[in-house]
Amino acid sequence: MGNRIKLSIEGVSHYFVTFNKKDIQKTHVLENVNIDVRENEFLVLLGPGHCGKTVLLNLIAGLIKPTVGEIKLDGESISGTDKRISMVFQQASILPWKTVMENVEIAPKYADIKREERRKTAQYFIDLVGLNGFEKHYPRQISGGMKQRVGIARAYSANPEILLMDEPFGALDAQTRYSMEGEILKIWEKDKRTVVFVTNNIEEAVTLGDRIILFSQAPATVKEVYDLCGLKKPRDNMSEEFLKMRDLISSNTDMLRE
Amino acid sequence: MKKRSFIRDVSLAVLPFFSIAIFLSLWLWVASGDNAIIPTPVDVFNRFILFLRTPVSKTSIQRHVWVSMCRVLIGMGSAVIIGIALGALFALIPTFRSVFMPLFNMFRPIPPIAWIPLVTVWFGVGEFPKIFLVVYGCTVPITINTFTGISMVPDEFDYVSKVFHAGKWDRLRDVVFPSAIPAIIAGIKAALSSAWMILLSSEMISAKAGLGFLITRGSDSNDLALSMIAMILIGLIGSLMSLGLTFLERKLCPWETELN
Repeated sequence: MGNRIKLSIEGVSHYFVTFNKKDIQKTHVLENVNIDVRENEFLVLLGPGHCGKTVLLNLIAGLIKPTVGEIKLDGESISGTDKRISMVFQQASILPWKTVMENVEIAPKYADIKREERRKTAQYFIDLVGLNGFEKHYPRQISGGMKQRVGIARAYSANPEILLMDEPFGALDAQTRYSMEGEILKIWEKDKRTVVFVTNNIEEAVTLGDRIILFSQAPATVKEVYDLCGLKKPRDNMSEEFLKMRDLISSNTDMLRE
Repeated sequence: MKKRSFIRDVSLAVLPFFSIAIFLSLWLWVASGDNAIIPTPVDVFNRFILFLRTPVSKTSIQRHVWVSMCRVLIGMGSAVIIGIALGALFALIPTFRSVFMPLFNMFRPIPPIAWIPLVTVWFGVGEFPKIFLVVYGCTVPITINTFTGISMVPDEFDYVSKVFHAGKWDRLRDVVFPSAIPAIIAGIKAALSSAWMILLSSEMISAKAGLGFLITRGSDSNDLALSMIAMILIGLIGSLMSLGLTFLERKLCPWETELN
Protein backbone atom coordinates (compact mmCIF):
# COMPACT_ATOMS: atom_id res chain seq x y z
CA MET A 1 0.00 0.00 0.00
CA GLY A 2 1.33 3.36 -1.03
CA ASN A 3 1.76 5.89 1.71
CA ARG A 4 1.11 8.86 -0.53
CA ILE A 5 -1.45 11.23 0.97
CA LYS A 6 -4.46 11.40 -1.32
CA LEU A 7 -6.83 13.52 0.66
CA SER A 8 -6.22 15.67 3.67
CA ILE A 9 -8.65 17.24 6.04
CA GLU A 10 -6.92 20.15 7.70
CA GLY A 11 -8.20 21.83 10.83
CA VAL A 12 -11.84 21.38 9.94
CA SER A 13 -14.43 22.64 12.39
CA HIS A 14 -18.09 22.95 11.60
CA TYR A 15 -21.15 24.27 13.33
CA PHE A 16 -24.74 24.77 12.37
CA VAL A 17 -26.54 27.91 13.38
CA THR A 18 -30.14 27.52 14.42
CA PHE A 19 -32.58 30.16 15.56
CA ASN A 20 -34.54 29.18 18.61
CA LYS A 21 -37.09 31.85 19.50
CA LYS A 22 -34.84 34.65 20.72
CA ASP A 23 -31.52 32.87 20.88
CA ILE A 24 -29.14 32.08 18.14
CA GLN A 25 -27.89 28.61 18.85
CA LYS A 26 -24.62 27.30 17.58
CA THR A 27 -24.39 23.55 17.34
CA HIS A 28 -20.84 22.36 17.18
CA VAL A 29 -20.61 19.33 14.97
CA LEU A 30 -16.91 18.97 14.23
CA GLU A 31 -14.01 20.31 16.27
CA ASN A 32 -10.57 20.72 14.72
CA VAL A 33 -10.51 17.51 12.71
CA ASN A 34 -7.24 16.59 10.98
CA ILE A 35 -7.11 13.44 8.91
CA ASP A 36 -4.79 12.27 6.16
CA VAL A 37 -6.24 9.69 3.83
CA ARG A 38 -3.67 7.55 2.04
CA GLU A 39 -3.97 6.57 -1.58
CA ASN A 40 -6.00 3.39 -2.15
CA GLU A 41 -6.54 2.72 1.51
CA PHE A 42 -9.83 1.62 3.02
CA LEU A 43 -10.31 4.18 5.77
CA VAL A 44 -13.13 3.76 8.26
CA LEU A 45 -14.56 6.66 10.24
CA LEU A 46 -16.10 5.16 13.35
CA GLY A 47 -18.16 7.05 15.88
CA PRO A 48 -21.35 7.10 17.88
CA GLY A 49 -24.63 7.97 16.14
CA HIS A 50 -25.18 11.65 15.34
CA CYS A 51 -21.59 12.52 16.17
CA GLY A 52 -20.97 14.35 12.92
CA LYS A 53 -19.43 11.64 10.73
CA THR A 54 -22.02 12.17 8.00
CA VAL A 55 -21.41 15.91 8.13
CA LEU A 56 -17.69 15.29 7.64
CA LEU A 57 -18.44 13.10 4.64
CA ASN A 58 -20.78 15.71 3.16
CA LEU A 59 -17.99 18.26 3.65
CA ILE A 60 -15.53 16.09 1.74
CA ALA A 61 -18.14 15.54 -0.98
CA GLY A 62 -18.51 19.31 -1.23
CA LEU A 63 -22.23 19.26 -0.46
CA ILE A 64 -21.66 21.68 2.41
CA LYS A 65 -18.81 24.06 3.21
CA PRO A 66 -16.81 23.81 6.43
CA THR A 67 -17.05 26.73 8.82
CA VAL A 68 -13.29 26.56 9.41
CA GLY A 69 -10.55 24.57 7.74
CA GLU A 70 -9.62 23.13 4.41
CA ILE A 71 -9.95 19.94 2.45
CA LYS A 72 -7.16 19.14 0.04
CA LEU A 73 -7.16 16.62 -2.76
CA ASP A 74 -3.71 15.76 -4.12
CA GLY A 75 -2.39 18.74 -2.19
CA GLU A 76 -4.81 21.22 -3.74
CA SER A 77 -7.63 22.83 -1.85
CA ILE A 78 -11.08 21.90 -3.15
CA SER A 79 -14.47 23.52 -2.70
CA GLY A 80 -17.81 22.30 -3.97
CA THR A 81 -18.39 18.92 -5.54
CA ASP A 82 -15.51 17.41 -7.47
CA LYS A 83 -15.57 14.90 -10.29
CA ARG A 84 -12.82 12.89 -8.63
CA ILE A 85 -15.00 12.23 -5.59
CA SER A 86 -18.07 10.01 -5.64
CA MET A 87 -20.44 8.86 -2.94
CA VAL A 88 -22.61 5.99 -1.76
CA PHE A 89 -25.47 7.38 0.31
CA GLN A 90 -26.97 6.15 3.54
CA GLN A 91 -30.46 5.63 2.13
CA ALA A 92 -29.21 4.30 -1.23
CA SER A 93 -30.89 7.39 -2.75
CA ILE A 94 -31.39 5.78 -6.11
CA LEU A 95 -33.92 7.48 -8.33
CA PRO A 96 -37.20 5.50 -8.16
CA TRP A 97 -38.24 6.54 -11.70
CA LYS A 98 -35.13 5.15 -13.32
CA THR A 99 -34.23 1.54 -13.94
CA VAL A 100 -31.13 -0.03 -12.43
CA MET A 101 -29.20 0.63 -15.64
CA GLU A 102 -30.40 4.24 -15.93
CA ASN A 103 -29.43 4.85 -12.31
CA VAL A 104 -25.96 3.43 -12.65
CA GLU A 105 -25.16 5.32 -15.85
CA ILE A 106 -26.06 8.83 -14.62
CA ALA A 107 -22.54 9.99 -13.83
CA PRO A 108 -21.10 9.24 -17.31
CA LYS A 109 -24.37 10.47 -18.84
CA TYR A 110 -24.01 13.87 -17.14
CA ALA A 111 -20.38 13.93 -18.30
CA ASP A 112 -21.78 13.74 -21.87
CA ILE A 113 -20.29 10.34 -22.60
CA LYS A 114 -21.93 8.61 -25.56
CA ARG A 115 -24.71 6.17 -24.75
CA GLU A 116 -22.93 3.07 -26.04
CA GLU A 117 -19.77 3.79 -24.14
CA ARG A 118 -21.43 4.72 -20.85
CA ARG A 119 -23.67 1.65 -21.02
CA LYS A 120 -20.52 -0.45 -21.27
CA THR A 121 -19.07 1.21 -18.17
CA ALA A 122 -22.34 0.86 -16.28
CA GLN A 123 -22.69 -2.78 -17.31
CA TYR A 124 -19.19 -3.54 -16.02
CA PHE A 125 -20.05 -2.24 -12.57
CA ILE A 126 -23.53 -3.78 -12.58
CA ASP A 127 -21.83 -7.12 -13.19
CA LEU A 128 -19.23 -6.34 -10.56
CA VAL A 129 -21.84 -5.80 -7.84
CA GLY A 130 -23.71 -8.92 -8.98
CA LEU A 131 -26.82 -7.32 -10.44
CA ASN A 132 -26.51 -8.89 -13.86
CA GLY A 133 -30.02 -9.54 -15.18
CA PHE A 134 -31.66 -6.76 -13.16
CA GLU A 135 -30.72 -3.89 -15.49
CA LYS A 136 -34.31 -3.16 -16.49
CA HIS A 137 -35.81 -3.45 -13.02
CA TYR A 138 -37.13 -0.43 -11.21
CA PRO A 139 -35.89 0.16 -7.62
CA ARG A 140 -39.32 -0.84 -6.27
CA GLN A 141 -38.85 -4.29 -7.68
CA ILE A 142 -35.57 -5.05 -5.92
CA SER A 143 -34.58 -5.59 -2.29
CA GLY A 144 -32.86 -3.14 0.04
CA GLY A 145 -29.52 -4.91 -0.32
CA MET A 146 -29.78 -4.76 -4.10
CA LYS A 147 -30.58 -1.05 -3.96
CA GLN A 148 -27.35 -0.51 -2.03
CA ARG A 149 -25.50 -2.46 -4.72
CA VAL A 150 -27.01 -0.09 -7.30
CA GLY A 151 -25.74 2.82 -5.20
CA ILE A 152 -22.26 1.27 -5.12
CA ALA A 153 -22.24 0.58 -8.88
CA ARG A 154 -23.41 4.12 -9.53
CA ALA A 155 -20.64 5.59 -7.41
CA TYR A 156 -18.03 3.45 -9.21
CA SER A 157 -19.40 4.39 -12.66
CA ALA A 158 -18.39 7.98 -12.00
CA ASN A 159 -14.86 6.59 -12.15
CA PRO A 160 -13.79 8.48 -9.03
CA GLU A 161 -10.43 8.50 -7.32
CA ILE A 162 -12.11 8.68 -3.94
CA LEU A 163 -15.26 6.83 -2.87
CA LEU A 164 -17.18 8.09 0.11
CA MET A 165 -19.54 5.63 1.76
CA ASP A 166 -22.00 6.89 4.33
CA GLU A 167 -23.21 3.98 6.47
CA PRO A 168 -24.26 2.21 3.30
CA PHE A 169 -25.33 -0.94 5.13
CA GLY A 170 -26.92 0.76 8.13
CA ALA A 171 -30.47 0.06 7.00
CA LEU A 172 -29.90 -3.58 6.09
CA ASP A 173 -30.66 -6.64 8.18
CA ALA A 174 -27.70 -8.39 9.82
CA GLN A 175 -27.52 -11.25 7.33
CA THR A 176 -27.51 -8.99 4.26
CA ARG A 177 -25.08 -6.70 6.02
CA TYR A 178 -22.49 -9.45 6.49
CA SER A 179 -22.68 -10.52 2.90
CA MET A 180 -22.51 -6.93 1.65
CA GLU A 181 -19.39 -6.33 3.75
CA GLY A 182 -17.81 -9.32 2.05
CA GLU A 183 -18.89 -8.03 -1.35
CA ILE A 184 -17.55 -4.54 -0.83
CA LEU A 185 -14.14 -5.93 0.12
CA LYS A 186 -14.08 -8.14 -2.96
CA ILE A 187 -14.99 -5.20 -5.19
CA TRP A 188 -12.38 -3.03 -3.54
CA GLU A 189 -9.69 -5.71 -4.03
CA LYS A 190 -10.62 -5.99 -7.72
CA ASP A 191 -10.84 -2.27 -8.39
CA LYS A 192 -8.72 -0.39 -5.89
CA ARG A 193 -9.72 3.14 -5.02
CA THR A 194 -9.36 5.32 -1.98
CA VAL A 195 -12.39 4.59 0.21
CA VAL A 196 -13.65 6.61 3.16
CA PHE A 197 -16.29 4.52 4.90
CA VAL A 198 -18.48 5.82 7.70
CA THR A 199 -20.07 3.48 10.23
CA ASN A 200 -21.20 3.31 13.84
CA ASN A 201 -20.69 -0.43 14.00
CA ILE A 202 -17.38 -1.54 15.55
CA GLU A 203 -17.50 -5.02 14.06
CA GLU A 204 -18.07 -3.59 10.59
CA ALA A 205 -15.18 -1.18 11.10
CA VAL A 206 -12.79 -3.96 12.13
CA THR A 207 -13.94 -6.15 9.23
CA LEU A 208 -13.32 -3.50 6.59
CA GLY A 209 -10.77 -0.93 7.68
CA ASP A 210 -7.08 -0.66 6.84
CA ARG A 211 -7.18 2.10 9.38
CA ILE A 212 -9.94 3.14 11.73
CA ILE A 213 -10.42 6.70 12.92
CA LEU A 214 -12.39 6.76 16.12
CA PHE A 215 -14.48 9.86 16.82
CA SER A 216 -15.72 11.17 20.12
CA GLN A 217 -19.29 12.16 20.89
CA ALA A 218 -20.43 15.45 19.29
CA PRO A 219 -18.72 17.79 18.67
CA ALA A 220 -16.69 15.13 16.94
CA THR A 221 -12.96 15.15 17.42
CA VAL A 222 -10.48 12.48 16.42
CA LYS A 223 -10.07 10.36 19.51
CA GLU A 224 -7.79 7.62 18.29
CA VAL A 225 -6.37 6.19 15.09
CA TYR A 226 -6.02 2.40 14.78
CA ASP A 227 -3.78 0.82 12.16
CA LEU A 228 -5.10 -2.56 11.08
CA CYS A 229 -2.83 -3.14 8.08
CA GLY A 230 -1.34 -6.09 9.96
CA LEU A 231 -4.64 -7.96 9.91
CA LYS A 232 -5.01 -9.77 6.60
CA LYS A 233 -8.30 -9.52 4.74
CA PRO A 234 -10.73 -11.20 4.57
CA ARG A 235 -10.74 -11.25 8.33
CA ASP A 236 -12.21 -13.96 10.47
CA ASN A 237 -14.45 -12.27 12.99
CA MET A 238 -13.90 -15.11 15.47
CA SER A 239 -10.11 -14.92 15.36
CA GLU A 240 -8.17 -13.80 18.39
CA GLU A 241 -6.66 -10.67 16.80
CA PHE A 242 -10.05 -9.59 15.50
CA LEU A 243 -11.71 -9.91 18.88
CA LYS A 244 -8.80 -8.22 20.60
CA MET A 245 -9.00 -5.25 18.26
CA ARG A 246 -12.74 -5.08 18.64
CA ASP A 247 -12.50 -5.02 22.43
CA LEU A 248 -9.69 -2.48 22.33
CA ILE A 249 -11.80 -0.08 20.30
CA SER A 250 -14.96 -0.87 22.17
CA SER A 251 -13.41 0.00 25.53
CA ASN A 252 -12.35 3.36 24.14
CA THR A 253 -15.61 4.52 22.59
CA ASP A 254 -18.23 6.92 23.84
CA MET A 255 -20.88 4.63 22.37
CA LEU A 256 -23.38 2.74 24.33
CA ARG A 257 -22.66 -0.95 24.01
CA GLU A 258 -25.08 -2.61 21.69
CA MET B 1 -55.49 -21.94 -0.93
CA LYS B 2 -56.09 -21.58 -4.64
CA LYS B 3 -59.79 -22.25 -4.31
CA ARG B 4 -60.13 -19.67 -1.59
CA SER B 5 -58.42 -16.96 -3.60
CA PHE B 6 -60.67 -17.82 -6.54
CA ILE B 7 -63.73 -17.27 -4.38
CA ARG B 8 -62.20 -14.04 -3.16
CA ASP B 9 -61.55 -12.82 -6.69
CA VAL B 10 -65.09 -13.59 -7.78
CA SER B 11 -66.62 -11.91 -4.79
CA LEU B 12 -64.47 -8.84 -5.27
CA ALA B 13 -65.67 -8.66 -8.86
CA VAL B 14 -69.34 -9.13 -7.91
CA LEU B 15 -69.47 -6.82 -4.90
CA PRO B 16 -69.67 -3.54 -6.88
CA PHE B 17 -72.80 -4.80 -8.67
CA PHE B 18 -74.17 -5.84 -5.32
CA SER B 19 -73.77 -2.33 -3.87
CA ILE B 20 -75.32 -0.79 -6.98
CA ALA B 21 -78.27 -3.18 -6.68
CA ILE B 22 -78.78 -2.21 -3.03
CA PHE B 23 -78.62 1.45 -3.98
CA LEU B 24 -81.22 0.94 -6.73
CA SER B 25 -83.60 -0.91 -4.43
CA LEU B 26 -83.27 1.79 -1.76
CA TRP B 27 -84.04 4.35 -4.42
CA LEU B 28 -87.05 2.30 -5.58
CA TRP B 29 -88.26 2.02 -1.98
CA VAL B 30 -87.95 5.75 -1.32
CA ALA B 31 -89.57 6.67 -4.66
CA SER B 32 -92.49 4.28 -4.68
CA GLY B 33 -94.42 5.26 -1.55
CA ASP B 34 -97.97 6.56 -1.98
CA ASN B 35 -97.10 10.25 -1.76
CA ALA B 36 -93.56 9.88 -3.09
CA ILE B 37 -92.40 12.84 -5.13
CA ILE B 38 -89.24 11.60 -6.80
CA PRO B 39 -89.19 9.43 -9.93
CA THR B 40 -88.44 5.72 -9.62
CA PRO B 41 -85.50 4.10 -11.43
CA VAL B 42 -88.04 2.75 -13.92
CA ASP B 43 -89.41 6.25 -14.57
CA VAL B 44 -85.91 7.52 -15.17
CA PHE B 45 -85.14 4.63 -17.49
CA ASN B 46 -88.30 5.22 -19.49
CA ARG B 47 -87.55 8.92 -19.69
CA PHE B 48 -84.08 8.00 -20.94
CA ILE B 49 -85.52 5.84 -23.74
CA LEU B 50 -87.86 8.69 -24.66
CA PHE B 51 -84.96 11.12 -24.65
CA LEU B 52 -83.06 8.93 -27.08
CA ARG B 53 -85.94 9.37 -29.54
CA THR B 54 -87.15 12.89 -28.77
CA PRO B 55 -84.64 15.72 -28.41
CA VAL B 56 -84.92 18.27 -25.58
CA SER B 57 -84.69 21.88 -26.70
CA LYS B 58 -84.05 20.66 -30.25
CA THR B 59 -80.89 18.94 -29.08
CA SER B 60 -80.28 15.19 -28.92
CA ILE B 61 -78.98 13.54 -25.76
CA GLN B 62 -75.65 12.76 -27.43
CA ARG B 63 -75.32 16.41 -28.35
CA HIS B 64 -76.00 17.54 -24.77
CA VAL B 65 -73.33 15.18 -23.45
CA TRP B 66 -70.89 16.17 -26.17
CA VAL B 67 -71.32 19.90 -25.51
CA SER B 68 -70.57 19.52 -21.78
CA MET B 69 -67.70 17.10 -22.37
CA CYS B 70 -66.07 19.52 -24.82
CA ARG B 71 -66.30 22.36 -22.31
CA VAL B 72 -64.75 20.25 -19.55
CA LEU B 73 -62.02 18.75 -21.75
CA ILE B 74 -60.99 22.01 -23.39
CA GLY B 75 -61.10 23.79 -20.05
CA MET B 76 -59.15 21.05 -18.25
CA GLY B 77 -56.60 20.75 -21.06
CA SER B 78 -55.86 24.46 -20.97
CA ALA B 79 -55.77 24.44 -17.17
CA VAL B 80 -53.26 21.58 -17.16
CA ILE B 81 -50.92 23.47 -19.49
CA ILE B 82 -51.30 26.82 -17.72
CA GLY B 83 -51.22 25.30 -14.22
CA ILE B 84 -48.06 23.25 -14.76
CA ALA B 85 -46.31 26.17 -16.45
CA LEU B 86 -47.34 28.61 -13.72
CA GLY B 87 -46.44 26.22 -10.90
CA ALA B 88 -43.05 25.50 -12.45
CA LEU B 89 -42.32 29.20 -12.94
CA PHE B 90 -43.28 29.92 -9.32
CA ALA B 91 -41.05 27.15 -8.07
CA LEU B 92 -38.03 27.72 -10.30
CA ILE B 93 -37.83 31.49 -10.79
CA PRO B 94 -37.74 33.48 -7.52
CA THR B 95 -38.30 36.83 -9.27
CA PHE B 96 -41.41 35.51 -10.99
CA ARG B 97 -42.61 34.13 -7.69
CA SER B 98 -42.21 37.39 -5.79
CA VAL B 99 -43.92 39.41 -8.52
CA PHE B 100 -46.91 37.17 -9.23
CA MET B 101 -47.41 34.94 -6.20
CA PRO B 102 -49.21 37.61 -4.10
CA LEU B 103 -51.55 38.32 -7.00
CA PHE B 104 -52.20 34.62 -7.47
CA ASN B 105 -52.87 34.21 -3.78
CA MET B 106 -55.45 37.00 -3.88
CA PHE B 107 -57.33 35.53 -6.83
CA ARG B 108 -57.15 32.01 -5.43
CA PRO B 109 -59.84 32.24 -2.73
CA ILE B 110 -62.42 33.82 -5.08
CA PRO B 111 -64.64 30.92 -6.18
CA PRO B 112 -65.13 30.68 -9.95
CA ILE B 113 -68.89 30.98 -9.48
CA ALA B 114 -68.40 34.43 -8.00
CA TRP B 115 -67.06 35.50 -11.38
CA ILE B 116 -70.24 34.59 -13.26
CA PRO B 117 -71.88 38.06 -13.12
CA LEU B 118 -68.71 39.84 -14.20
CA VAL B 119 -67.88 37.32 -16.90
CA THR B 120 -71.41 37.40 -18.27
CA VAL B 121 -71.33 41.18 -18.65
CA TRP B 122 -67.93 40.95 -20.22
CA PHE B 123 -68.19 38.02 -22.58
CA GLY B 124 -71.92 37.33 -22.83
CA VAL B 125 -73.33 33.83 -22.63
CA GLY B 126 -71.41 31.99 -25.37
CA GLU B 127 -68.91 29.15 -25.08
CA PHE B 128 -65.96 31.27 -24.05
CA PRO B 129 -67.13 32.46 -20.61
CA LYS B 130 -68.06 28.89 -19.58
CA ILE B 131 -64.72 27.45 -20.64
CA PHE B 132 -62.94 30.44 -19.13
CA LEU B 133 -64.47 29.73 -15.72
CA VAL B 134 -63.46 26.07 -15.89
CA VAL B 135 -59.91 27.07 -16.82
CA TYR B 136 -59.82 29.61 -14.01
CA GLY B 137 -61.07 27.17 -11.40
CA CYS B 138 -58.95 24.22 -12.49
CA THR B 139 -55.70 26.13 -12.88
CA VAL B 140 -55.56 26.87 -9.15
CA PRO B 141 -55.16 23.34 -7.72
CA ILE B 142 -52.85 22.29 -10.55
CA THR B 143 -50.61 25.34 -10.04
CA ILE B 144 -50.42 24.82 -6.29
CA ASN B 145 -49.65 21.12 -6.57
CA THR B 146 -47.04 21.64 -9.28
CA PHE B 147 -45.40 24.35 -7.20
CA THR B 148 -45.32 22.18 -4.08
CA GLY B 149 -44.16 19.09 -5.96
CA ILE B 150 -41.31 20.92 -7.63
CA SER B 151 -40.20 22.85 -4.53
CA MET B 152 -40.13 19.79 -2.35
CA VAL B 153 -37.57 17.65 -4.10
CA PRO B 154 -36.16 15.45 -1.31
CA ASP B 155 -32.65 16.47 -0.19
CA GLU B 156 -31.28 13.02 -0.91
CA PHE B 157 -32.12 13.31 -4.62
CA ASP B 158 -30.72 16.81 -4.71
CA TYR B 159 -27.45 15.49 -3.28
CA VAL B 160 -27.39 12.81 -5.96
CA SER B 161 -27.68 15.41 -8.71
CA LYS B 162 -24.87 17.43 -7.13
CA VAL B 163 -22.46 14.57 -6.46
CA PHE B 164 -22.88 13.23 -10.00
CA HIS B 165 -22.67 16.68 -11.57
CA ALA B 166 -26.06 16.93 -13.22
CA GLY B 167 -26.39 20.02 -15.39
CA LYS B 168 -29.32 22.39 -14.92
CA TRP B 169 -31.48 20.61 -17.49
CA ASP B 170 -30.35 17.15 -16.40
CA ARG B 171 -31.53 18.01 -12.93
CA LEU B 172 -34.93 19.27 -14.10
CA ARG B 173 -35.51 16.30 -16.38
CA ASP B 174 -34.15 13.50 -14.21
CA VAL B 175 -34.81 14.68 -10.68
CA VAL B 176 -37.16 17.64 -10.31
CA PHE B 177 -40.03 16.82 -12.68
CA PRO B 178 -40.24 13.07 -12.05
CA SER B 179 -40.41 13.64 -8.32
CA ALA B 180 -43.20 16.18 -8.87
CA ILE B 181 -45.39 14.04 -11.16
CA PRO B 182 -47.46 12.33 -8.44
CA ALA B 183 -48.27 15.71 -6.86
CA ILE B 184 -49.16 17.18 -10.27
CA ILE B 185 -51.50 14.31 -11.07
CA ALA B 186 -53.16 14.64 -7.67
CA GLY B 187 -53.73 18.30 -8.54
CA ILE B 188 -55.29 17.35 -11.89
CA LYS B 189 -57.59 14.88 -10.17
CA ALA B 190 -58.75 17.52 -7.72
CA ALA B 191 -59.22 19.92 -10.63
CA LEU B 192 -61.37 17.42 -12.52
CA SER B 193 -64.06 17.30 -9.88
CA SER B 194 -64.14 21.05 -9.56
CA ALA B 195 -64.31 21.30 -13.36
CA TRP B 196 -67.71 19.59 -13.35
CA MET B 197 -68.91 21.70 -10.44
CA ILE B 198 -67.96 24.95 -12.14
CA LEU B 199 -69.32 23.91 -15.51
CA LEU B 200 -72.64 22.81 -14.05
CA SER B 201 -73.13 26.08 -12.23
CA SER B 202 -72.42 28.15 -15.29
CA GLU B 203 -74.59 25.91 -17.50
CA MET B 204 -77.45 26.10 -15.04
CA ILE B 205 -77.36 29.87 -15.15
CA SER B 206 -76.96 30.40 -18.86
CA ALA B 207 -76.85 27.72 -21.53
CA LYS B 208 -78.87 26.35 -24.39
CA ALA B 209 -77.41 22.86 -24.20
CA GLY B 210 -75.37 20.66 -21.89
CA LEU B 211 -75.94 18.54 -18.81
CA GLY B 212 -76.28 21.52 -16.48
CA PHE B 213 -78.91 22.95 -18.82
CA LEU B 214 -80.82 19.63 -18.64
CA ILE B 215 -80.92 19.81 -14.85
CA THR B 216 -82.40 23.31 -14.90
CA ARG B 217 -84.78 22.38 -17.70
CA GLY B 218 -86.00 19.33 -15.76
CA SER B 219 -86.59 21.47 -12.70
CA ASP B 220 -88.37 24.22 -14.65
CA SER B 221 -90.69 21.87 -16.55
CA ASN B 222 -91.48 19.60 -13.62
CA ASP B 223 -89.56 16.78 -15.33
CA LEU B 224 -87.37 15.54 -12.45
CA ALA B 225 -86.51 12.35 -14.33
CA LEU B 226 -84.73 14.51 -16.90
CA SER B 227 -82.65 16.18 -14.17
CA MET B 228 -81.78 12.79 -12.79
CA ILE B 229 -80.68 11.49 -16.17
CA ALA B 230 -78.25 14.41 -16.33
CA MET B 231 -77.02 13.66 -12.81
CA ILE B 232 -76.40 10.01 -13.61
CA LEU B 233 -74.59 10.92 -16.83
CA ILE B 234 -72.32 13.34 -14.96
CA GLY B 235 -71.55 10.65 -12.40
CA LEU B 236 -70.70 8.11 -15.10
CA ILE B 237 -68.62 10.44 -17.26
CA GLY B 238 -66.83 11.93 -14.26
CA SER B 239 -65.83 8.55 -12.87
CA LEU B 240 -64.72 7.36 -16.32
CA MET B 241 -62.53 10.46 -16.65
CA SER B 242 -60.87 9.92 -13.29
CA LEU B 243 -60.34 6.27 -14.23
CA GLY B 244 -58.65 7.58 -17.39
CA LEU B 245 -56.42 9.77 -15.22
CA THR B 246 -55.41 6.81 -13.08
CA PHE B 247 -54.53 4.94 -16.25
CA LEU B 248 -52.51 7.94 -17.46
CA GLU B 249 -50.68 8.05 -14.14
CA ARG B 250 -49.67 4.42 -14.58
CA LYS B 251 -48.40 5.15 -18.08
CA LEU B 252 -46.49 8.21 -16.92
CA CYS B 253 -45.08 6.62 -13.78
CA PRO B 254 -44.22 3.02 -14.69
CA TRP B 255 -41.88 2.92 -11.70
CA GLU B 256 -44.81 3.03 -9.32
CA THR B 257 -46.51 -0.09 -10.61
CA GLU B 258 -45.13 -3.53 -10.16
CA LEU B 259 -44.61 -5.80 -13.11
CA ASN B 260 -46.73 -8.97 -13.18
